[in-house]
Amino acid sequence: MSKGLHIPEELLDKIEYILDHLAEKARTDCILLADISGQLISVQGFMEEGTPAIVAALAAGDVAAMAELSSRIGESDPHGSFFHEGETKSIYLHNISGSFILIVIFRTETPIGLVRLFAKRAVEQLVPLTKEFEQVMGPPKTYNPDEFSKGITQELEDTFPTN
Amino acid sequence: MIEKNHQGGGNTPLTFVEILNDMNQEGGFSRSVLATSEGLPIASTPGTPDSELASAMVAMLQQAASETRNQFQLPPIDEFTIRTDNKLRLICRTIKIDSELMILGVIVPPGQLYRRVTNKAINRIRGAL
Repeated sequence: MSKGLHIPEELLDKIEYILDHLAEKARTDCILLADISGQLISVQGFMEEGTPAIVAALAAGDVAAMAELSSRIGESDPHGSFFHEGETKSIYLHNISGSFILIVIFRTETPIGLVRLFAKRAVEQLVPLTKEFEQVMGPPKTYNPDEFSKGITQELEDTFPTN
Repeated sequence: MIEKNHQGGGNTPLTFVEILNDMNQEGGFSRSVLATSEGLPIASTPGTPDSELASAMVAMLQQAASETRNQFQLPPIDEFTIRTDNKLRLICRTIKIDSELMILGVIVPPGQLYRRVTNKAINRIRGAL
């Protein structure tokens, strides 16, 4: 399944190894790794519903929105994680150094602490790989807080005019 | 891009739930929980719906213990205990692995020994990571 990203096999092997370990230890349904723009890099597991490429793109939007949201409440580091708890499936998203997005989909029966514990470990291993990725693919070029901020302010003003 | 299939896990040689089950059986404990220091559940046995509450509670106790340790300038905490009128004990063991701090909480019946069994479980938890 080509998504237009041509990543060296050696780098993909390292990523795959980390995601395999995370899937095995945290008992996840599906793990996606995307670049910060939402282009898929690797998929581990099955998605019973939905398309990985669409999920990755939507996650990229969520991560950008959350980075903006956190900066608006005075948080200086936008590279955090967040978690959506659903009725049957939950999603854990982690912005890795502004280069990768780790998307973990798991059943609600799986304890969140288990996912978080092993996801954090996976992120620690993936951080050094962001440098390798950027050397090959170039620096991340999507999220610009100023542009995003201007865009969202404009959208909010258009939707809810002040006058 | 790589797509790889994985059958939802569950085939790991030793899961945290298995470790807790073995520990409960060997020690005669009625209940145990393994939680992150933020109070998120990692595993619990039996798997009751209030495992989230139990995890949050042991993490809260750990924070109180840690604050107390800081105030009294004590060495790192290995365990802390709540003992009830009828001699039931909630034993909380702290487990530090790299940058992670976890808490193992067990309900120990009156008169029951627990150190050796919980030590063994902690070693197995370390091995499972």
